[in-house]
Amino acid sequence: MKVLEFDVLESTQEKAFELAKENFNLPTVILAKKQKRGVGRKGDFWWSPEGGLWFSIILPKILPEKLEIFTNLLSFLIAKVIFEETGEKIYIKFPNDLYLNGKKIGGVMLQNKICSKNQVSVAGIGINTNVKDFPENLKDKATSIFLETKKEIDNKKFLEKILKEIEKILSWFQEK
Amino acid sequence: MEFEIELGQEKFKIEITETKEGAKIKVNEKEFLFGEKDERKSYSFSQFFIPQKELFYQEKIVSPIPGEISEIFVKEKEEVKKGQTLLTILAMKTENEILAPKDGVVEKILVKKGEKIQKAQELIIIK
Repeated sequence: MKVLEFDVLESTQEKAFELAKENFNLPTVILAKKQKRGVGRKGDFWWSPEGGLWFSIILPKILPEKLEIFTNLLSFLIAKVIFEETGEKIYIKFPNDLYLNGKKIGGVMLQNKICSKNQVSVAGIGINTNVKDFPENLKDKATSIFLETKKEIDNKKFLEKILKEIEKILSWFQEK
Repeated sequence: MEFEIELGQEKFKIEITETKEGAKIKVNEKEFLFGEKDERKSYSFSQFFIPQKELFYQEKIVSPIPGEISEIFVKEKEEVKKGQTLLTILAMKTENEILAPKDGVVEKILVKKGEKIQKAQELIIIK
């Protein structure tokens, strides 16, 4: 999968929709070291400082009927990669949220924009991998893999593993 | 024969095929049939387009998926730009944003927030 990397973005979702107008080979990944206005489902703010893994995937066309299964599987795949890398068991609050030790460590969202017969679907994924600190109002609700395990995650390697897993399932979802 | 014409900001894809009865003209997937009983053998574009204008510029936006209207962002008589979000449909726990396919004015909103809708149900008419 092609990965476009940015130091800072307002949000990877926003950039993905902006770039979706260009004719990239899909899927294409938009990765940012830091997001100023990261968003979660329903537009909620997502704290996304340096250290975390923040990316969006501009997807090839997937039938709207299959998008829910795809989102659910994304949560599973990420939980699986975290388990394989750290041995930590992740709790999935369906369909979008990932928890570790009772606190949120990541999330998955899917935005779909339809204009006549054109459709652009972007999956947004945020994982608090090496986030070292959280604002006061989030400290009780959110955590990171680093804070829970004291292990530093190699974000690049982590991303590669996740993308490999996604590639394996993607062909089944693509419109024939 | 296939060709494209541009009128103002609108693009029209025209496809003309001969049939046993006469001619079939397809304009942006809408079909117009001309039978041989009609004595006029040729049609200028002005004859063709002007009577059809009302119909032609109206665009019904239909739902691509069954679901529930979770938000409506526009009002009737409001001007909209191509690509502007008109409404969102919550389907399979995914928000689907329905965008305006062209610049225009919202002629009619046929659904309400919270309404359950079927696939292919008409949602909004833009003129």
